[in-house]
Amino acid sequence: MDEPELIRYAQQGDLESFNRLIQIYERQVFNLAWRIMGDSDSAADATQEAFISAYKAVGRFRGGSFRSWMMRIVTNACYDELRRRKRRPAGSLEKLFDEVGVPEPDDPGDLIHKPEDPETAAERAELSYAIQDCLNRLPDDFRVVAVLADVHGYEYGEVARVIGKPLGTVKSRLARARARLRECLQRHRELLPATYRLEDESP
Amino acid sequence: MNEMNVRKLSKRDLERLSAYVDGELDARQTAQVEARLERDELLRGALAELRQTAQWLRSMPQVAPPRHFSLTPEMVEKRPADRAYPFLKLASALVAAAFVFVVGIDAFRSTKGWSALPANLAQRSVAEAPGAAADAGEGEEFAAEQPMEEAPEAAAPLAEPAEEATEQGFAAEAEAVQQTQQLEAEMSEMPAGESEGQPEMAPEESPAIGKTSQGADNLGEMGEEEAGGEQRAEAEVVPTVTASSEDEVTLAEEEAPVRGPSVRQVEPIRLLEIGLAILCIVLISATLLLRVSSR
Repeated sequence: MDEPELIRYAQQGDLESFNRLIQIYERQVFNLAWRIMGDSDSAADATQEAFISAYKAVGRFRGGSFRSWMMRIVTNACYDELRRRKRRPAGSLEKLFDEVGVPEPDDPGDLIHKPEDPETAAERAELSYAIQDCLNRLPDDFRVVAVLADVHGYEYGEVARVIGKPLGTVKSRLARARARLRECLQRHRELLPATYRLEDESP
Repeated sequence: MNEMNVRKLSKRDLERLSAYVDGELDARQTAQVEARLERDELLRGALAELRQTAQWLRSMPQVAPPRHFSLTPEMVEKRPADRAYPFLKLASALVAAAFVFVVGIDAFRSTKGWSALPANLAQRSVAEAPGAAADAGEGEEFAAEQPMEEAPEAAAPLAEPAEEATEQGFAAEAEAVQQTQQLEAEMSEMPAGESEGQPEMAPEESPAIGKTSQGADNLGEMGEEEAGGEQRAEAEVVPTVTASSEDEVTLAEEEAPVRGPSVRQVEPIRLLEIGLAILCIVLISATLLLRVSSR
């Protein structure tokens, strides 16, 4: 069965078909949530919640890109969770990130990995850590756009559909997110030992 | 990298350059940016920084989810409460609409409703009291305002003051009330011809009846004729009661034109309004509770 067919069956209430769709999208959905939320547990919760909402709402899906639709649902689930965090006493957001730490993608089994020497691997892990830390420091709206456009490589049009905002908003949020990330990564780099410095400046 | 060129860009230039990195500018804008890049070192530095930042982000590894997220029937099964929700919502809306409708009717009637309804009421008063036909025919407005008082010509003027006196003046026991009612019944059987004399009689009669009620505990099984005798006697003995009840009668007569129709017409609608309001509040609360609990 192809995707449109699975969607049609799911719309008629067939859970098996919807679970096939989940299998197709769970990796993308989880990774988006993970980058937005900054930790694996919250990301898993948001992902599960998003799939439940999606199943309940799939009857209202009116064609177009199912991926955009799915990503919009998980983005909203993340926003909900972030809002819940904000309602907690002041300063707890920062603390939460400190407690949970930055996701560590260095479980070898989890990575889409090419063979690389240990030093490169360590650098990569360090950079990855720094990027997630800098993402976590961005305002939510900037982070969502940066994750969609840069981490996931979506075109501006799709980002606009996912966040439900005009193209101009996407453009300006992404530009400002990149500028802030650049500054933040600069600070990280200055803190890193020389061996972990990122040398390849020019593209 | 140490320069931080992006920081020095204007907001507009930053947006342009960022979009240029992604190839999201149209041909004209792309040409403009490229022309400026050729002569502007700052812009070139900023472009390199933006490109690298985007590249780094794109190089972020994807991870395998810690588990699968397949849904089980239990996870998506609708609880009975969830199934009830749409019905409750509909019921709330219907009851609220009914409430608004009834209140609207009530408001309409109490503002201009009376002038719109006289024909109907006049007809009813004629039907209920043939003796009052002439009065009802005289003027629709008048008839409409006083249908209940005018209609039972013989009984009403007497019965009402009597009731009034009983209610206001004395705490009547059940037996006493029964006796009063019997007396009322007797009086209402009086021929229409005698009714002219009754307004004068009323002040005398009503305290007497009231007295009867009060005295019923002592008098017990007293017969109706005896009660009648007692009435007159007591009325003479206690003139103060008569005087005070006279006031009451006047009061009652003044109130009658207003209360006569309104008491009978409006009370059911008020009850309906209160009932609907309560039902409405209960349904809406239940709906809201269900919505909150299902989250």
